[in-house]
Amino acid sequence: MAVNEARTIGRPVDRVDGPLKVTGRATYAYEHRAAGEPLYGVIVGATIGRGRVARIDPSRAERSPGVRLVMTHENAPAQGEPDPSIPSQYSRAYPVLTGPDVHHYGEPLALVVAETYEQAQAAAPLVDVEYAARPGRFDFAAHRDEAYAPAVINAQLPTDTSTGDFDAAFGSAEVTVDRRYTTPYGFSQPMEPHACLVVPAGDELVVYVSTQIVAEARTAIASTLGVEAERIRIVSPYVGGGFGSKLGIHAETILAALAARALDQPVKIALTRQQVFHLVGLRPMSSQRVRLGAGRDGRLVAIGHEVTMYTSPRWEYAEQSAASTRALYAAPNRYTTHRLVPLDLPRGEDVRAPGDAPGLLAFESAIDELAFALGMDPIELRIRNEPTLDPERGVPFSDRRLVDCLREGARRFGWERRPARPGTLRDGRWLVGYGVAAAMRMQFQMASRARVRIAPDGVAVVQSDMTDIGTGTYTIVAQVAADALGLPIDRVRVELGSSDFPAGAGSGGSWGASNTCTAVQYACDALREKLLASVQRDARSPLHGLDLGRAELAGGRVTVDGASEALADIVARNHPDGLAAEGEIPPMWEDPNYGAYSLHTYGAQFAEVGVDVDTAEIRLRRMLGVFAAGRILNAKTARSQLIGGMIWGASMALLEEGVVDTRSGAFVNRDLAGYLVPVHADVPEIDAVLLDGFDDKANVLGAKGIGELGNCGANAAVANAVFNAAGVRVRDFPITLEKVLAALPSVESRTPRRTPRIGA
Amino acid sequence: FETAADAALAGARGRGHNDFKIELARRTLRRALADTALGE
Repeated sequence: MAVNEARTIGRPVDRVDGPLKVTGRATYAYEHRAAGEPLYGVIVGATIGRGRVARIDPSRAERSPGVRLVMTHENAPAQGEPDPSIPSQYSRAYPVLTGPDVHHYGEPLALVVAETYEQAQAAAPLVDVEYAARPGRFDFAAHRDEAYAPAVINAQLPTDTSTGDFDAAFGSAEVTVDRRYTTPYGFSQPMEPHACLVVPAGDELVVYVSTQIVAEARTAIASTLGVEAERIRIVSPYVGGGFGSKLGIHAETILAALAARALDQPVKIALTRQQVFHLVGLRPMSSQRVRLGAGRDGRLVAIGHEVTMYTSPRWEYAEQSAASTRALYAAPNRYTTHRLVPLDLPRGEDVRAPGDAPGLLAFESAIDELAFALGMDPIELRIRNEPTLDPERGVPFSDRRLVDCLREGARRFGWERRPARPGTLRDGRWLVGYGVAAAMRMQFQMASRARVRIAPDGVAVVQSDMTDIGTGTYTIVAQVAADALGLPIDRVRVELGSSDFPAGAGSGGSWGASNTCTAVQYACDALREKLLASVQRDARSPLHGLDLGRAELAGGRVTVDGASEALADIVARNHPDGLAAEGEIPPMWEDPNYGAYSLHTYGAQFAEVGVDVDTAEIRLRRMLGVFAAGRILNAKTARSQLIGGMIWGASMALLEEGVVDTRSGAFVNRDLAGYLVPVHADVPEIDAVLLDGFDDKANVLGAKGIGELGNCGANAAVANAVFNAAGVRVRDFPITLEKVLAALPSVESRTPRRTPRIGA
Repeated sequence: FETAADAALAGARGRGHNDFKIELARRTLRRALADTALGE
């Protein structure tokens, strides 16, 4: 069925849920007021990094005012074990308080449940714990030699790839780069901490939880508690950010469910900001070796990318950091590898743009180093190595516009003003530099379903368990349905985030918008067919007997050759209880396009930085991203997503770093005072430009995901700009001033001599 | 100004990871004094 000519799709429609959010009427997980006064839970975490609980005594806490339950491994109910044969880790059981072993600092050892939050908080320190500590592995550098190869890496991608003869090609290349880059531990840190309210309802549990994927949360909770999934109801209409950390459920959700079931009362838990650092996953630290070999003309002959990263030994996580390297540039001889270093730290999980964020930071920095070694413009180098086919899969790209992004970005950014030699452009006390990097992100398609129902009053209601994690899902779903059914957008109501609704793939992997909206489109198409079938049978309709193949839906009416009837009237007369239809899409491994083509989104990231000539302070001066992601569903929300990702990229390059105390395994900077993220003053001029297009291999809407594309390469653009500004190449991220300071020339050679105006 | 910075930082001892702060302080002092002398 052809897509109706777009009327609201693509336009910068304001968020339909905006008024609810700014007036405090959008209810988040911890804010729900369900039947019955809730009890409040506070988690007690381990204060050692590895060992055993030798003794745990809850008696003082139990006697504390208002305390109703203290759960430890000694009285926690039996729970299901995670099934490693389930491909998605987020669908697996998540048992807690399973025994006395301590696997990482902060691991839950007890849950204190009381009548008020303050009572639970006061009682938590009264849980007496004695440890038998054991030496832990906390230092990545010290244990790097223990790295092993996982069976697969994230997204079920192959661990290693190899084409041609890299060693021979690299060994004979005219110009080579062989560099190692390290990226730190990183955290999602959504504005809304992880929280939930669990309400017993007969033999069911209603779980109000901040989650990105409702269906997986339901499966994981059910399998952990040992009940059928139908006995778990998930309610998650609004989520205050996730960025990967809410793809799966975590300890607070299971603990709340166990306590609610034990006490037969609602129980709510919210993690503190400090607990978020230890309990909801993190981006692993990585050490990446990138080797590039090229001819003097800049054409790559050899690409090598080796990734070594941290993993928890108990919960393996292998970030796909060399995945984009496999498809970004042409080179006949290439290899990529991924290796894991087991450490006794909290588990690694997806953090926005997993793989590509740290991987492109290293790889695109190395490309910039190659450009410098060649004496070539870094944009020209990238264009010169543009592949015609996917370099490793050998299939055509569905819609690749990286070169367009680079050229358009160069024009808009004023790239011609970039100093050819690093460290030569001054603006007062600032050394100024420009940097560029490519952005690339794989397009995913996951099974998704949606339902659309038109009521006799002509209002269309779209239902999906899809979540809105701040991305604008409510709005773009409304736009798609409005266009498909020819309704004004205010005649479309969107209901999300409930396990009562058709299951989708949720928000993650940048797949949410394109997948859900395609399912919605199909649902609307099916509904349109049912509607027209009604007209065909309805002799009372002014459209009866006309050629319904020429029917147009617009303005809430159905029109055929000048004859028209309100859609509401058709429904009211023929379907007094409303008319509904469902639509669905298959997962990518069942869609032939994803096998026949290489589907990605692309971008070009530009950054201008200033480096203080005396103090090496680094300041972002402006950023520009030009992106191509097929059809854009909403120009406003898409731009917001991309800008947010770009800021994240700059943050990764300059600020964010989880610091581990290698004595205890604790993250020492576990709050937003110590774990630095940008504030408004850190981000001046920033813009994202979208090259609209249509990728007909992706889906019927031509749309691809953009939720993470803004992260990709933005960090490398900033790093490359720092090099262009100061002539200092930092390969140990984040780039902090002490890493630049030592290489800056002495003050006297830099500070312009001026005649002091003494006594003036 | 360099002499003044050296005097101010005489005896400063870093702890390894924060050694850079001594050089940073030296540079900052020089610049602050230079800016002050220039009336900036």
